[in-house]
Amino acid sequence: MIDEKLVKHIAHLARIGISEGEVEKFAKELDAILEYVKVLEGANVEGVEPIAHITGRENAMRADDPDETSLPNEDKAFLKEQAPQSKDGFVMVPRVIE
Amino acid sequence: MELAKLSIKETAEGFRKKEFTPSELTAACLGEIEKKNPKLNAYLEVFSEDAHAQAKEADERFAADSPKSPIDGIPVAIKDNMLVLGKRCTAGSKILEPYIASYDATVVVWLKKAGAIILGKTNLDEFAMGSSTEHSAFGPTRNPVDTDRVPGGSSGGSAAAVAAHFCTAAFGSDTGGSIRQPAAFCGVVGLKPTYGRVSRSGLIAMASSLDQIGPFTKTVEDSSLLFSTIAGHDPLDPTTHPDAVFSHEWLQEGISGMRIGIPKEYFGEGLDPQIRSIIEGLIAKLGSEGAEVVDISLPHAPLGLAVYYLIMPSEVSANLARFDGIRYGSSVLRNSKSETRNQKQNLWDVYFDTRREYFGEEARRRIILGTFALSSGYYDAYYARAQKVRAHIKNDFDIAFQSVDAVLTPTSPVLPFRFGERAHDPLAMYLADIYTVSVNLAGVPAISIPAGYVNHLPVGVQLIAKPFNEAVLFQAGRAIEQVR
Repeated sequence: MIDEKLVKHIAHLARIGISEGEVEKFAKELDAILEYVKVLEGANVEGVEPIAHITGRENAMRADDPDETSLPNEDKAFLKEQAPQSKDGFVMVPRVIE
Repeated sequence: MELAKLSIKETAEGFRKKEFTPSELTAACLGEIEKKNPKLNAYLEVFSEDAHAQAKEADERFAADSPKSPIDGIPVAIKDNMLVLGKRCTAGSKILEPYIASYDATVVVWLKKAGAIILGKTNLDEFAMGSSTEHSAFGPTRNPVDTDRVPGGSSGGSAAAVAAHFCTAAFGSDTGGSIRQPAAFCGVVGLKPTYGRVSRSGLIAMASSLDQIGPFTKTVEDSSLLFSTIAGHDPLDPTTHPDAVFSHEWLQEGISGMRIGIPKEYFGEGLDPQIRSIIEGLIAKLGSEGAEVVDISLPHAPLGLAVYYLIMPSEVSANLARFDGIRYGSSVLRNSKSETRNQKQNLWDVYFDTRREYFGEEARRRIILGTFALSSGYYDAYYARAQKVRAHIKNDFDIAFQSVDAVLTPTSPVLPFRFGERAHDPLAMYLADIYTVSVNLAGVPAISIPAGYVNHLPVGVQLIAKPFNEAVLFQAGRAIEQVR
């Protein structure tokens, strides 16, 4: 049921470049995996609440206080250096608006 | 005496009695690494200089009879998907090859505080996705037991490092079996704690509702000791439970009177008959030690793998969206030096080209599978349905633990396999996880313990307990060590 057109569409949604050869390969492999997960169609899930979080904890809050001790100033500079492109202390990105 | 072969408990006693020092042990581990790591590729990076310095400080504490903790001076290895401040953290991926960690994972903070020596970072399947460590962008790790075979995965480097005596203990992460299966393949002890018991802050996320950090050790007692070091509530991980702490104390010795459930679904088709015979022999021995062996059923167990291979890639596709070639890590932007050319570079091309060039094949396969399962028109049939069946799987365990204290299964249906044997077929590789994934889906704790050998190849037994009952795993696990 997964054809090459669908693989291309999904890869586009996921922002992943794939080559023509890979499109065919992924289509076959994903089809096999989806064939395998068909066993779930046999399970009775009527009225079953889906599990989003296994321990049932929700809304764990903490104060949104800046913690200056956790990241010294030299590390802030170091963070910016991790970007592929930076200039004058800013992270540089390709043009977003034409 | 070969210091690197000792357990934590034996080591700590040696330190305390001044029979040897943390520096001597660290040197012994580094010596083994130097000799054998080029062949095994368990470590991606070794911090020799830092380790010697940390060991020297520990030497002084023992000389003054004031160790920081029961694990002071113990050399440990960290899977390369956990951050160590100022060190490279690759997650086994080309896309993070240039990335330097800007903070310590909480687990690393707590280990350092306890005086543990961080020896280095270990190999893994890319972003912890795999069951053989063959999917690492930096080459596979070899199983120290048999170097023609895989060490399991994804934490294959950590399992191999402990088995090869490259460290006294190591840490890994377990999303669907990534600690327990390599522990079984390498013949060491591996613990997957209860979800919410160990902070994931500083662990590079794979599937956030399933990931948990845990130790690889030579003995069950060491596992308990390290678990007590890393368990606890952490404000930086809101999924950690307020009562997550664990105290390393032996509640009870022996297995007499303990009710051990044997789920028939884990002993069916696909289980290697040689593994079955070892596990059944072990069950009989536990029975003669006074354990009450009970046949049980986890009826939805056969659906576990299908649920896992929808939920996990869905979460992967969300978590790996952050690797975009803009903020950190590898990027096609780094390839072009000229500023004018960069400005002309199209934003979309940066995303597509970076993710094509620097993600490995398995990472891209799972991102695409997960994006599909979450996409409009397919969400209800795949992701939502999987989350509902997940409720059945959890419920199966809830019912089982009303009548038994622990569930016992093989850790893996197969023996450590040869390189390339499964790598060509994604589904065959996924089937290696069939006995471990349900534990993560249900959030329960489990441990893999060496149960015996088929020829020279180790076989692991898995014990599963109800949430927050790791103590039962350690108690039953110690009994297994004595009777196996």
